[in-house]
Amino acid sequence: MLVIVLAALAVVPFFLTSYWVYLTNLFLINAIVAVGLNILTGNAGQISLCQSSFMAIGAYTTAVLSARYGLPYWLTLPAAMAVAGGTGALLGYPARRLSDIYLALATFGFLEIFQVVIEEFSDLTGGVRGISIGRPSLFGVTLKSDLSLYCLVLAAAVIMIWVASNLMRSRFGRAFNAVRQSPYAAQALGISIGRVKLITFALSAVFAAVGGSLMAVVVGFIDPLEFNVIASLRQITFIVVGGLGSIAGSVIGALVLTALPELLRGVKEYVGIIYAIILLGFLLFMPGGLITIWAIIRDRIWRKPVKIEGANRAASLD
Amino acid sequence: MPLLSIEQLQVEFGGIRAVNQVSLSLEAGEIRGLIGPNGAGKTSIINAITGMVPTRAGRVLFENRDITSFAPHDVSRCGVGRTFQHAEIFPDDSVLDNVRIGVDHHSQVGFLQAAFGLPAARKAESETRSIAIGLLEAFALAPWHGQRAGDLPFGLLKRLDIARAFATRPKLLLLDEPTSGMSEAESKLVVDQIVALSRQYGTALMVIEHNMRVIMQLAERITVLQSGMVLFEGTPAEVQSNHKVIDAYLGEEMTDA
Repeated sequence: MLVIVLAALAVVPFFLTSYWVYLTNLFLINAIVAVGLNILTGNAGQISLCQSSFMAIGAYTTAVLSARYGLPYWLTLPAAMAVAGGTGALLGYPARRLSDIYLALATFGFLEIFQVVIEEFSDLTGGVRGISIGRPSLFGVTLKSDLSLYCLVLAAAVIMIWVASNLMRSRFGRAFNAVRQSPYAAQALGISIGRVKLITFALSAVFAAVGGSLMAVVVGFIDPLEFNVIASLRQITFIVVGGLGSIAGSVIGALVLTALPELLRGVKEYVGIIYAIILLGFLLFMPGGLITIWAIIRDRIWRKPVKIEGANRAASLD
Repeated sequence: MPLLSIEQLQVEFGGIRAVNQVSLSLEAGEIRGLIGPNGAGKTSIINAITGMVPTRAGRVLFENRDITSFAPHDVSRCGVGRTFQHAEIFPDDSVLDNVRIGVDHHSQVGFLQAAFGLPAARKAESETRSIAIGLLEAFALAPWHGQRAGDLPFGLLKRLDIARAFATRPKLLLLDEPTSGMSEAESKLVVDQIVALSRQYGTALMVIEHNMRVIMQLAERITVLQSGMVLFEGTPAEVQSNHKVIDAYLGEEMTDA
């Protein structure tokens, strides 16, 4: 499955027009952000309405360092990750004591403040007029063509998804899931809830920053409006539609919802409403997201034996 | 030096005194029973030791260290494990992962090692897995290791909760009604395994139990609580022949059974 997807992503863009390559780039960027957000929300169970601010941190770090100081991309990307990771941890610190609606409000507050910060420091950020970013250069080579840019985005997406899946199969991923499911049991096993919140906030911020940094060079222009609360809500839609707590689900959600606005061009004014209907529909009728369809198909094909019957028998050992 | 000593412990909920001036101490490797009628304060004592409810007064010392105001995860880090009356498992995780989270307690794998799937992380992962499988086998849970834990019946969840608590290799394990909701055969298996593992790991046990037959066999000493206070403490034989205990608790319990 994974191999097929990768092969398709490696080959297909050579046959696409530059507009579709651009769209595929956006899909991969959205996928990176969604994978990070899903670790925070789907696995660790923490709400964040400020993922687009972390994206903004990534985008503006890259933009400012390259446009104002002329640093090459291979330096601005790690810088973007470091700045966002640090900010994420800083935000995670007070968030340790908050949950649910209070956490949503706190992160929303952070997002609003960050918007103002971008607008006020216009010498650096270009303020509401935005800032332009040239084509990125890696180790002296400037990525001029769409295709070379695509290769950069694809490589970043593959690495970030690989890191996420490594983490989720480690003790860290298990601890994230434990905190969501039962804070009491998690603590009884020695897991610090505060630390998990701190790590997942920082981690999701780093993923968002990579997405934001790539977006800056793919789009070539950023302004604060790109990173408002609507953008944050859209990212939440990605993971709900794809499947909470699932890496593959995050990618599928990003794919479907990046393509959707293109398919709905004819009814552009209703896109917001359609988004809302999709979100509500999935929450009501398919809370596991699109990924559950894959699970159903897989079980049909391989016919996993259902062992519940046996479980009942052993429950009454006598 | 006792492993655990509780001094004049007091726990209150909205003015109601759930635990009142309770003092008791436990030696390393000891198996202690904690019995008493409903509302006697047994679970509150466990919650207070593990930092899950605030204490009003008194101290909890573990290995001579004052852990009274420790956060729950720090208490666990000191080597105090617990299970839950209603088996607080992780429902969406597999049965194996539930126990693995317990084994992870001692894992030294760093964040970057895990993120980049370095050999050290992969080696630790396979060790964690085999330890977890061993514990699942001990509690006859291995056939369900890949199953979603939330789909299992209650008796199996209780076993899973105990297996997971042992996975942290605690010096002291607080068991809250380990055999409730189990058949005779199942509860025998569980009690045998609890004793075997506590000997193997040198784990001291404090066991809340309503099944008198189980607790009289299991415990070396029993503390009897009533209305948040210690009514009596002694060997199972002493407890069974004590008039205060029979009047307050065992009498009705025996006629029930």
